[in-house]
Amino acid sequence: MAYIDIKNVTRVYDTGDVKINALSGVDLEIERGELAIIVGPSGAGKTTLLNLLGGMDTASSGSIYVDDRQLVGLRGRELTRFRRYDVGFVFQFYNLVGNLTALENVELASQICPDPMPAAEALEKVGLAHRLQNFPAQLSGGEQQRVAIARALAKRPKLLLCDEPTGALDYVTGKEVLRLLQDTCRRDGMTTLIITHNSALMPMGDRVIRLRSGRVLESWINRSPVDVERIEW
Amino acid sequence: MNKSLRTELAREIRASKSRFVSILTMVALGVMFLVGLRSAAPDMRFTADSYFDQHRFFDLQIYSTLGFGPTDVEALAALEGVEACVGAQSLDGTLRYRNTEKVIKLHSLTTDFNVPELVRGRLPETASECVADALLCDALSIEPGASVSISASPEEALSDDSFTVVGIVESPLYISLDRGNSSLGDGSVAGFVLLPEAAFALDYSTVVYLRADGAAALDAYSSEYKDRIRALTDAAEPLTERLAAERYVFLQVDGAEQLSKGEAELADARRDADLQLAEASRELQAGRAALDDGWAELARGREELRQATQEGRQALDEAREELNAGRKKLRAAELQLPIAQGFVTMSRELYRSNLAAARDTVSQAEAQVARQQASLARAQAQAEQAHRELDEIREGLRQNLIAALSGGEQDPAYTAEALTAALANAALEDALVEAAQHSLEAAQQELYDSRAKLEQTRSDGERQIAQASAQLAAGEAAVEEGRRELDAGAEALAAAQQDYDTQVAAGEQHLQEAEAELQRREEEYAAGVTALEEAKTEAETALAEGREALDRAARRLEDLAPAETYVLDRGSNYGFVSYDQNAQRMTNLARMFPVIFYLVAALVCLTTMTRMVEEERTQIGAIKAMGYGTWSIAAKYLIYGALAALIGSVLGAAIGTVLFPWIIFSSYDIMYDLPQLTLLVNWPLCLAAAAVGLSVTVGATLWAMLSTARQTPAALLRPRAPRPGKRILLERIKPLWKRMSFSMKVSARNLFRFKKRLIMTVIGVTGCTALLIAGLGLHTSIFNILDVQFFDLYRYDVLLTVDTDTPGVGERVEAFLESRGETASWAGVYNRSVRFSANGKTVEGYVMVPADPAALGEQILLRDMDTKQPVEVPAEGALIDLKLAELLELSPGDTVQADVGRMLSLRVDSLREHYVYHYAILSTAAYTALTGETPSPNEYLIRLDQNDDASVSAFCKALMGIEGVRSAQNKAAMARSFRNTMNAVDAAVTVIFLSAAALAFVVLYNLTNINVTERIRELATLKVLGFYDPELAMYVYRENIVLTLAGIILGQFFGKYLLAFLIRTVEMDIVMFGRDPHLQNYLLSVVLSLFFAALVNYRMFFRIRKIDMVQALKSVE
Repeated sequence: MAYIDIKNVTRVYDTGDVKINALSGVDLEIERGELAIIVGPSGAGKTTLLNLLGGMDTASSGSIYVDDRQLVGLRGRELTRFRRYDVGFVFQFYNLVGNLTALENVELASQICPDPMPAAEALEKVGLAHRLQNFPAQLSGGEQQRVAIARALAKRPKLLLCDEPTGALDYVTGKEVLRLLQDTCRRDGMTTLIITHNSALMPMGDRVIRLRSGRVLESWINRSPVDVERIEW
Repeated sequence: MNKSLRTELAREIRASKSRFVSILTMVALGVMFLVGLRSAAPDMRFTADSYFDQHRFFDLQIYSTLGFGPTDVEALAALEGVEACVGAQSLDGTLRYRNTEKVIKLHSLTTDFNVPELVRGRLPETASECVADALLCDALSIEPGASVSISASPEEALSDDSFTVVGIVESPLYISLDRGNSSLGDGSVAGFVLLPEAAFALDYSTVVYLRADGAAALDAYSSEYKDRIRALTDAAEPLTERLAAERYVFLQVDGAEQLSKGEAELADARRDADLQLAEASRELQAGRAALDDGWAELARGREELRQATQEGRQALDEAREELNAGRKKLRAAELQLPIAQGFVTMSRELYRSNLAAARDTVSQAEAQVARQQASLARAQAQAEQAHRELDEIREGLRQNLIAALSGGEQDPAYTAEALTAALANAALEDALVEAAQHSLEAAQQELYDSRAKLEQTRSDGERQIAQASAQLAAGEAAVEEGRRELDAGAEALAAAQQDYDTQVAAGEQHLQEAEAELQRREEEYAAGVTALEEAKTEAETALAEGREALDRAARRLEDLAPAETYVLDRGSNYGFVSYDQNAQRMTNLARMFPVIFYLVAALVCLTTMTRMVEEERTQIGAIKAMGYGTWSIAAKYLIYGALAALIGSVLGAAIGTVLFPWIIFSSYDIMYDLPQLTLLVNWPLCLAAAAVGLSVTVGATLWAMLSTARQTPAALLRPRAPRPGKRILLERIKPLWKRMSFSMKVSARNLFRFKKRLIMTVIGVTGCTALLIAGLGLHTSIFNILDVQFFDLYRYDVLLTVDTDTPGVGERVEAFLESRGETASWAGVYNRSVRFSANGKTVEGYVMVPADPAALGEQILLRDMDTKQPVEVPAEGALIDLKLAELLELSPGDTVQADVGRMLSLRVDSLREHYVYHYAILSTAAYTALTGETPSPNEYLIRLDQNDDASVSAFCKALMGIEGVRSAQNKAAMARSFRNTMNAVDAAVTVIFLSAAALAFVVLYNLTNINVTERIRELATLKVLGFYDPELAMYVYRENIVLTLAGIILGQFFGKYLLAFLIRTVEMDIVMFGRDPHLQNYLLSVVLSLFFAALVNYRMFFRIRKIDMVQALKSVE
């Protein structure tokens, strides 16, 4: 079984009158240490899939195994536990706590883990050793996203989930962030999933999955991923 | 605003029910509290005002020490601005019913003034009927129909003292339970009695009641009313003074006139009395003389009768004697008759025997003759001799015969002697012949003689018999005659006797009648004398009384001082004023308190609405981007806020208008006799409160809205620049900061990041905690003092009041107390109701003089308020209670005036802890030095070994049996009744407390809600990061807890001041509320606040748990 093994997963949002099939039978596998790029247009179910993988939402049916752990059927506290110990999230809008310094934002995550990476080290890793004591408002968007990545990494998660990590960033900064993610994956063997609507990013992934209308349109393994620097969009 | 926006509004409200409801609730609470508390006093006043108007309550009452004549009343009635005016009586007095005597106020019934409210029975119809105070009737269990005796002061004011209570009433003059003070008895008045005017015997009025024109239309508690009454008072005062001056002159002149007239009348009366007495005395004297004459006549009559009787009796006796003599004579005659008879018989016998003897003699003589003849013949021989002797013997015999004839007796011997003698010598033979001759002759003679003698004897005898018979017959005739005479005499005597008896009886009867008549007249005379004596005494007494009355009148005239007049408005009526004060207390309470309350509520509303607008920033941007104008966007929020505020205002105003005054009034109703509360809708207040609520909510919305809407849609649609993080002051203190845990640091920083929320929360919690402390504090201040006062300070169980006018009552009571085993200890005190004044303020209270200060200390714990150390009754100066000192702004060394009829200057020596009523305690020496009087105890404070209700009431009952005991009260019962009166204030307190609690809850809930809503994205992030729900909750709570704690701590201080402020506003003059900080209240307020916080946080936990990470993080803020 693959490190991440998703079989026939559906997610139906039932609002009473209308049923929306966000995912209607997704199958995919991602191996440990891979950088997976999930692309698709708006409403394809990218975020839903990410939420399911990150334990923020539960599938309506199917099975999701992460490192041999079945997520479907887990309940509140087990899901939280999963998020707490096994997942690192990076959002489009960083979601840093504005009232905490960069270091503290990382500590926010590290303090709930049994074996965290020291917060300063995590920030050093993302190249922000000099901005430890700055508040988010004092940082640029890229720096903020790097803090967010540091915060995700500090937990030493099993997988790093990034939802449009560059969506709010300019081209250069976005590239820097992607590069950080790619480096992290390569250097630390961190299994990383990046969700994006930007197909141009596909070459940088070890594995590429294209979604459309809640289904996997296609999925392939990229034998020779391209460095982010070389990608233009 | 178009349809979609309207729909959106409706949806918004439905979606954010809790926010809508919390705004609504806060506005409602704020308005309710403000309107409610502020309405209470006007409602109370309006109710009282209508009651007073309805019962024709006076506007002014005018007193003069000289009273008012009818013309005075007319003059006052004619005063401009006077609608009505009446002279009436208002006096002190006492009422006795079944051996209980109470000091009361007597008023005359006035039809158009101070009309009483009949509770039961009917109004008086005759001068001997009255109606009595319901309170008094309750106390004495008087029912309609009861007979009571009432005396007035002065005593002559009532013509009679026995009255029948025909009705039980309440009077507008006495709407409070307090009936005032009197100079009689122990000074406290137990109630009032209304008597018909006819029951009074005064020719003047003691009081004049006035009503001002149009005053009834005004609110008696308003300043217009006060102004109008002031004006009338200003007009009435000089008039009253003039009238009083005139009355003074009139009384003087009239008094002098009356006095001289009285003197004249008295002199006349004396003369008349003397005259009448003299006349009567003269009449009596004449009567006496007549009586004496009568008696003399009677005596004379009696004497006459006696004489007549005597004479009569003498005559009768004589007659009787005569009769008796006659009877004796008759009896003698009668006795003679048998003698005569015997005489006759004897005569006859004698005659017969004489005859026989004579016959014998004859026969013998014949024989003799024969024999003699024979002898003669024989003797013839001898005869010649015998003849000579015979001759001689013849001679002798002749002589003998003669002798016999003269003497009756015949002695033959002589013959013999002579014969013998003749014989003797010589011639015996011759003598013998002679003798024989003689003898013959003698015999013949003798025969002859004897024949003669026979004849003689016969005739003699026959004569003698005839004589005797004649004598007998004469005797018999005489006896017969005598008898007849006797009978006639007896008859006459009997008649005389009868006549005599009749006459005597008649005389005696006449005399008796005369005597009886005299006796009667004597009695009449005696009665006359007694009557005269009585008349004399009577006249003396009447004259003495007249004299005394005149003297009194003279003295009074002498003492007659110019009148002191008092023109008093309703402010002089205790019920009116104390009610006003209570209403004022409510006004004071309503002044600051609800404002704080309201501010807290408004502030939270403001925050909520601001927050709401900010939350929907993006949506606003979107709608604006669609081309809606700022106002149509704002409309939604404005309407949202306005709707919540409006509904809240209406609800709050409605509930507040009804509920608060009702609760407060019902509590005061215990102390006041007033009808059902009239609820007034205070429209300006309601509208103002609603307007404030509305404007705060809408204003906040508008402000937030405008500052938001001013931005371009693009800016709005962009995520709002996150609020920059900042270093807080705390971080500069490195050692502390380093030591803080991460989460504490986060919380610390968050706290200071949202300053507005911090301030809001702290203010909210502070306010609520303070309100809780104030509410709880008031409650305990009120009720703890009762325990402290009645059970810590008052150590006695029975308060005994005695009438010192009853001689020997003190000794009896003390002996009783000493004799009873259950008495633990006791103290006698002299207690007098006085009016204290100093620094321009006046307070009612008591002067207490213990007979033995140490014994008093046993019964009442005298101690310092702060140190709780015992204080002693000072040898000089007064020991007063702290509250009195506070009210009159006194401190030790100052002087306070005590009005006991005259002013006593007391130097304040020390202060003591005391809560209920005011006392100045003086030593006997100090009191004596001030007044010159040595007071004897009129109250006894008694501690018993067993103080359960049954033992105490049994003991009280025993005490009541002692003559001169007025009342024996169980302290525990007093405490209970006091507690009841304090319930009024407590009701207000409860309202405050509950409102504060409700507000505390809503405020905390709302603020926490905002806290969560505002940071939902942050929370979602944390949730994504893997925070467990409790950790997440704690992340929020930590701040809440800190803020709550801060609020609680601040609230403690604020509450302390609020409580102090409230105590001063709500506290009554006669009571000092506890000043001790009751730690448990502060603790309880903390616990309650924490409890509310916990409750809110518990409720919030579910909200936090339900945070949808996906939703929260998906949308761009």
